[in-house]
Amino acid sequence: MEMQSPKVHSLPSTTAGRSESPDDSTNAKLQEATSTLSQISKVIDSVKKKVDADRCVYIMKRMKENRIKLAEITKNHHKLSVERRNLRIINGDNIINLLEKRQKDAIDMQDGVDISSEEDEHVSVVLLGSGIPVKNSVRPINLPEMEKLPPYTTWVFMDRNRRMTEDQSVVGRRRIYYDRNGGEALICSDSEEEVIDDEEDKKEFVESEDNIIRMTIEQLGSSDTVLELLAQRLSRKPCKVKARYEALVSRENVRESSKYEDTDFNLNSFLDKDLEAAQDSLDNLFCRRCLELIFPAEKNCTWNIKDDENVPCGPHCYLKVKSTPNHGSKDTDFPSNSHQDYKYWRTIEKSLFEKGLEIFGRNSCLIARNLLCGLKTCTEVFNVLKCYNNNLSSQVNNITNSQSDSCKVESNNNMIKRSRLLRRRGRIRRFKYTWKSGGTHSMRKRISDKQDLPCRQYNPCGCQSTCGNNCSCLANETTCEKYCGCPKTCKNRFRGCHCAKNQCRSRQCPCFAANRECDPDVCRHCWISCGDGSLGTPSKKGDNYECRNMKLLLKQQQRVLLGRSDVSGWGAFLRNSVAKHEYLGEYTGELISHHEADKRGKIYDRENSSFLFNLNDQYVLDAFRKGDKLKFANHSPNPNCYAKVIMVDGDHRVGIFAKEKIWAGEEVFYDYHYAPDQTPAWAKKPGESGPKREDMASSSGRAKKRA
Amino acid sequence: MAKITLGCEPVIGSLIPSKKRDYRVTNRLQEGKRPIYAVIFNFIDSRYYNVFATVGGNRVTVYQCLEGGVIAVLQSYIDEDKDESFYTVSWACDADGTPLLVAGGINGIIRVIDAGNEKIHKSFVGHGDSVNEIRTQALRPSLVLSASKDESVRLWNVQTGICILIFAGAGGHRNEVLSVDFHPSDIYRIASCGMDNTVKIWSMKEFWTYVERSFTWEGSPSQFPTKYVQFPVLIASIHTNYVDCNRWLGDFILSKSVDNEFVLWEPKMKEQSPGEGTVDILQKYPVPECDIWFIKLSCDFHYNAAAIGNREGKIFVWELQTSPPSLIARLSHVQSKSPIRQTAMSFDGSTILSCCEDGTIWRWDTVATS
Repeated sequence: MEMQSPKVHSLPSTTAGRSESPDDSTNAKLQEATSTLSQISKVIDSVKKKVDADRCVYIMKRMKENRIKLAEITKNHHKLSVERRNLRIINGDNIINLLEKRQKDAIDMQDGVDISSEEDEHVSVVLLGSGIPVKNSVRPINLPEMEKLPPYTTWVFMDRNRRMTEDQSVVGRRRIYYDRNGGEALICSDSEEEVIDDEEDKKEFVESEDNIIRMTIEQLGSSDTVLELLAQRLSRKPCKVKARYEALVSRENVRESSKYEDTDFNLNSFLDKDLEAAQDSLDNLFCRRCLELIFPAEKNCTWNIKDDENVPCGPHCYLKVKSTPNHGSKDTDFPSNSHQDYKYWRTIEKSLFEKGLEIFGRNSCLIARNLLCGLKTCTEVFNVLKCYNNNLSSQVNNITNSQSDSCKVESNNNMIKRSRLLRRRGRIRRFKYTWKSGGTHSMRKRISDKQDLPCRQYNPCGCQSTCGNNCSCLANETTCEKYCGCPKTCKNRFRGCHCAKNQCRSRQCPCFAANRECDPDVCRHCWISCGDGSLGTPSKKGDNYECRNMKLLLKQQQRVLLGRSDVSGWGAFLRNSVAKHEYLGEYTGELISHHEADKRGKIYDRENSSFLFNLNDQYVLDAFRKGDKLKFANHSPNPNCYAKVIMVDGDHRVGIFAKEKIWAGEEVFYDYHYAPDQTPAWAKKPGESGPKREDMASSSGRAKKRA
Repeated sequence: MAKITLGCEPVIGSLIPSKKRDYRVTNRLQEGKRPIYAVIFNFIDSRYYNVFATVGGNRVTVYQCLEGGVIAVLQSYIDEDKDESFYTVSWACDADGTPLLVAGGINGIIRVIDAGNEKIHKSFVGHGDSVNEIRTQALRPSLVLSASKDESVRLWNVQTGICILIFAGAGGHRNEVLSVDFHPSDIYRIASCGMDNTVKIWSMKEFWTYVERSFTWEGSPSQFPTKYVQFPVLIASIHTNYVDCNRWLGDFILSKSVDNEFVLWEPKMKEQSPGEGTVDILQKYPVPECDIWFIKLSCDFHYNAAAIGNREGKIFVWELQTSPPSLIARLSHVQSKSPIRQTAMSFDGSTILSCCEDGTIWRWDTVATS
């Protein structure tokens, strides 16, 4: 934290000097040093003792408060439990239940009273002393058998694939699994220390630590040795301790100087940052596909929108100032004045202003109201706007635009790189997975059993002109899509199809052939009708033939039922009959990285149930906790369905299609296409032997579903 | 155990017994050969304060504690599925006060037994795997929570047989849930813990209308609009291994892992940002040789004391609410050597029951100290 406090440095110097008196003999120096060290330790110990005593008092106080509260609660519980005795009597149903009867019998029996039991062969209750086996002493009551469900882990429904959130990652985390067969707990982590390290960085200082820091430094000053010892005790870095102390002192100063400012403390520190820093998280969330809406090329026109409404936006609107004749004469003074003013604007105000220009154009009302609300008035913004040279501003804006774009892309990349780096630290060390699968990759479903390269994840490029050497799409060998920054004439663009009559249902359609769905934004004749036509029909393109290649996009899927499989566990069934090549539904799940998938896969393989599905070179789908019913479709070497990775709107998605005519109520199967060396025993075709050694070495595949 | 910040250390109890009370073995039963995983007194209805239930194998048994260390068997229930192995049992009650027993185990089917009429009341099929713990809401004893291996916690209405809420999903547990508990006074609040080493505090305030609806629901229970509660209000990483038991102590939480101790901590929620928040570990109660999982503690009605068994068949009775914590007694018997899975303290704490891996039940009673 950066805080302004001139007092900080003067404070400790007075005391720091005491322990560092100059000496001539080195021996004496050494002695001095050790005695200084022990002295510091002593002070810290005494400070610590005091903090500990306070802590004890605090805990005692909290315990007492809780005890008083809890006493009230249990009193209420007791009252309720006594009232329950009377429920039956109140209900007018005064039959003593069997539990009460048995209770009474037991007491009578103990008292030696003869119990007249209706069931002669069996006594109602049995008194037990030491050593009498309980089994068969009273007649047991049978609980009729119930059919239990096939096992499953609770999962949530997701209608589309979603990126894994950071907290769901198992990478670098210590997980302990219980092995039912071995009866042992298995620890799976890359490295224990790694996890703790990461946590340490984030940990905030708590009050007790602040007290120790403050009290120690007040007594001894903030010499390096003091800071080092303190840091050691607090298991933190000396520089952080120092920074914290400075923050504490400055906070105290602020509090002393004026109580009013103290409340503004947080706001002020925020205002001192520049916009980029303040929008840090915003950058991380940046998405090229969403930027589409505020794409610079289209935005240019909005800049020229005149202040069409000559209505003042508020009491400080520039329109009001303008309209008053008195100020009119001063008009010429504005530029110089405002230029002066602008110098004193805070960095964040300046950058907000610039952003405002980008978004709203030269409209002081909108900028002031939306971005500088409470900071600057419309008039102030207007004045600055006036002196802001039109030429210059457009130049600046162009630069900032292109910069911010590339910046954002870069920061995105940086973020990915950073997080990878963080993880890689853990990977250097040996996996602590305690079972033999530690070295191999996990099983994942795949699209086909061919050893073809997986498709590549598309990331929009930010090219401003025709894509050249710098284009990320070209580098990544993907085509440019509608989300790319490049113009429509870009050579690398996928052009869509011109199909009409064949309705994009065969490989004659370039979209279909490229395993893509048609996109009404791109393809020329692709359209579909909506509703019953009562609300009007869309302009029919291409001779009235509707496109049949947009099923995933439009969620035109079959009703899938979940049920007990005829093969094993759960299965997916069809509600209605479908024809060959009909689209059944999507296999959805969490989008996770291959690295993450390997980590998760270790556990899944062990449990022998994996919901991983290889999607492309970047992502694997995991439907274990999030997905849809099709995750329960079982594997079969002679399936009635097939899976296909299809590009829809720039995303890869997995569609399940009928391989043949399927009747209503039939179970759905498809071939998981596990890589040859990762096929689990149950998915192997009969007669197929295990892979040869050479195969294992050469194959790069992992056991994931493949289509 | 997660690292504790300097100056925030908890107060640790001393293992020297205060001898405030002493207990002697007054009875020992051999229920069968299979391990007994749970024992619990009925605190729901004052008529049955001296009645307790145990589960082991495919049996649920109801006993009564009589004077002089005598125990009487009142009822015994057997699941026809021999492979069933019950892990947990809890007392509940109907709207008209009928005592109910709710048991669950490896099959994942929750059995609701009508102890007043000695017959099965309902069976809940829904959990995808074994049920590890069932607890009853003391304020509304027809509401029960179940913690399962399928990574979810479910809230059931035993009266109508409805699964009201499922606590799982995006913010849910990442491995088996081992323990769950209702807050004693805040009816919306629950805590759960499990094999993902975390304790999660959940709020069902926003979903409370569904809970109320479950009491008046007239359609089939399967038609009820069961809701998912996906995000807890607090995730506490206090332990670094399985957390197999958590209990509310007022607004504080007692939780234990496999570190030879149980801890008392205060959850500090951030109201604006649910999910975040901190914990303040206040006290620690050491329990030697308690390093295997699935050992649960129990409290008396007023939460004055807690009893917990260990791997070697010994019991530690802690005074819960004093600071520093004080050990009331350490119970041991030459023949009690099998791991104690759970204990049960009677209403006033004068009787302690322990159930063991070897299928025995031990009764300990306080000795009048002159």
